[in-house]
Amino acid sequence: MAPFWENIVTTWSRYHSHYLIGARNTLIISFVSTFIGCLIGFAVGIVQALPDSPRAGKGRCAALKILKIVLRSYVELFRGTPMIVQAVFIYYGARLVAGLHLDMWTAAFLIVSVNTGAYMAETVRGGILSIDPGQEEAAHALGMTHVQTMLCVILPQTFRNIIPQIGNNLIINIKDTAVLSVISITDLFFVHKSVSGSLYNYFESATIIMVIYLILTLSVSWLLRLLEKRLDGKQHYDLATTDTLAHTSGLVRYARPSEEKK
Amino acid sequence: MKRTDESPLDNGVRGRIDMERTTVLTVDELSKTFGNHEVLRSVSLELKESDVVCLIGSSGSGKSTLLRCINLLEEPTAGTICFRGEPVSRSRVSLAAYRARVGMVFQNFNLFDHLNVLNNCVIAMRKVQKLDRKTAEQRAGYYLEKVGMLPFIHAKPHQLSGGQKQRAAIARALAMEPEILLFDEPTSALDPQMVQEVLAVMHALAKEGMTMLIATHEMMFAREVSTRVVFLDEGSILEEGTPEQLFSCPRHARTEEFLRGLLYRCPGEM
Ligand SMILES: Nc1ncnc2c1ncn2[C@@H]1O[C@H](COP(=O)(O)OP(=O)(O)OP(=O)(O)O)[C@@H](O)[C@H]1O
Ligand SMILES: [Mg+2]
Repeated sequence: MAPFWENIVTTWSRYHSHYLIGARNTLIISFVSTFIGCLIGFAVGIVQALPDSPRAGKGRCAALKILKIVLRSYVELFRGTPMIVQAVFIYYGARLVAGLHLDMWTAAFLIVSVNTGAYMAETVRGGILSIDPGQEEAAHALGMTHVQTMLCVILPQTFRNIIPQIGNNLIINIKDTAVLSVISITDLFFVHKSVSGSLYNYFESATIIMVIYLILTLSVSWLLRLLEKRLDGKQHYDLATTDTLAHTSGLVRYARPSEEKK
Repeated sequence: MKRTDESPLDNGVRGRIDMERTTVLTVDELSKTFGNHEVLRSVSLELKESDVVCLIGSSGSGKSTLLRCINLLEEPTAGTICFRGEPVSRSRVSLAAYRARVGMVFQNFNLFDHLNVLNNCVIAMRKVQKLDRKTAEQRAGYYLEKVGMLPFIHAKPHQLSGGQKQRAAIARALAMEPEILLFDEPTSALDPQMVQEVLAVMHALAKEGMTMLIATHEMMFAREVSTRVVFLDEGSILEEGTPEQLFSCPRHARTEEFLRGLLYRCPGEM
């Protein structure tokens, strides 16, 4: 057992800066791509959840239908093929077919974002559909437009409800950036491959990156829980007393508004 | 659009000054079909300022559908709706403006779950009427106080009882200062005790001269508060009149049958 620990200590002391850079790159790619993926997912999910309203003109109805089919294909294509294949396909394919030299970072962000977007689109669509339609009606009855209803009523609740899914995606991305080593991104897994390739200490190096991956994912879980709690606000509410009201906004000193107007 | 009265008017006075009151809402020959199911058939209705009209009728007679058609949550198949003498247009801009002037209270409250009571009231004033936060909050505060919900402004909907939710929903509708309020069975989802607190609020509104159209199964309330009662049967208005007329000597057999059915369910009420 002793040489194992010794090997770990020597590997770490010689290469810790490499491992840390790898971890940093993994984090950057997964955070940025999850963020962009969420934006894509919201955009696609919102369109997918639009009702085919007969009130809009025929032309707009048809355009919406085509757009939905395109987006649906996007979702199915990227959910339905392995990311490692997509990475090779896009990175080398762009070069061969279009003569486009994507730099590997752009390719990495692109691939992971677009993948996350495909999963998030369905999550967002489901999230929107799960909000009680009564709230949408109430908003409309108050005179809010469809866009206002979406932005102020539906999407904030959707966002809150899909945070666990966003967390899932972020954690999956942290682990799955490992496949980007096929396009030579120096993520954590790539560092492991190079280090173990030169020292032949596969097991020790794997142990090190396992621990690092676990630290990253556990911190992310914890952060997201914190965010959920934050968004939910207090579990109880305080009754507003006359002093607090007068103090904060002058609510109670208010005369009948209709008398004040004009 | 000024309020015609600050003090409660009894029904007799209402009757005498009928000519002077302006018409708020006119529903003309309104029909609605879902597929081949004719839910509303040529319904015509007129509400003048400070009218309180109760819609009664058995389940499935089309009360909710009528209310939903009036503020165009449901698109009428035929017929016109005039608000203050103007036909209501379905163009997007005027639709929002119209709905802001017609308040609606739902059976299931439909409060916005992620906002506290104050923000539930404030949001539409800010987005639709473009008021600044301070004015909107003050106005919300005024109406929340009126329905007795001022202490609960920081509570989220899931932290409230049914009656409190419905009172908050009424304040939310009132805060837009609508010219007419539509109620769709506002007490049907409530326990008997909470029913009373909500009815008390509506009673007070009626006394202040708020124009209201109320679908309800609360016959006692309809009898006490309404200026007119409308009996809806299978999508058409079978009978309408003052509460005394309709409840004491209904002209149609179906109306009598309906009222008798209620009598057996709640003895002593009629
Ligand atoms: N979206 C819809 N599609 C098809 N049919 C509908 C729809 N909404 C309502 N209906 C039908 O219209 C009829 C009237 O319904 P409505 O909800 O207006 O009745 P109601 O008088 O409000 O009844 P209740 O007292 O139970 O609330 C019912 O037979 C119902 O099945
Ligand atoms: Mg109903």
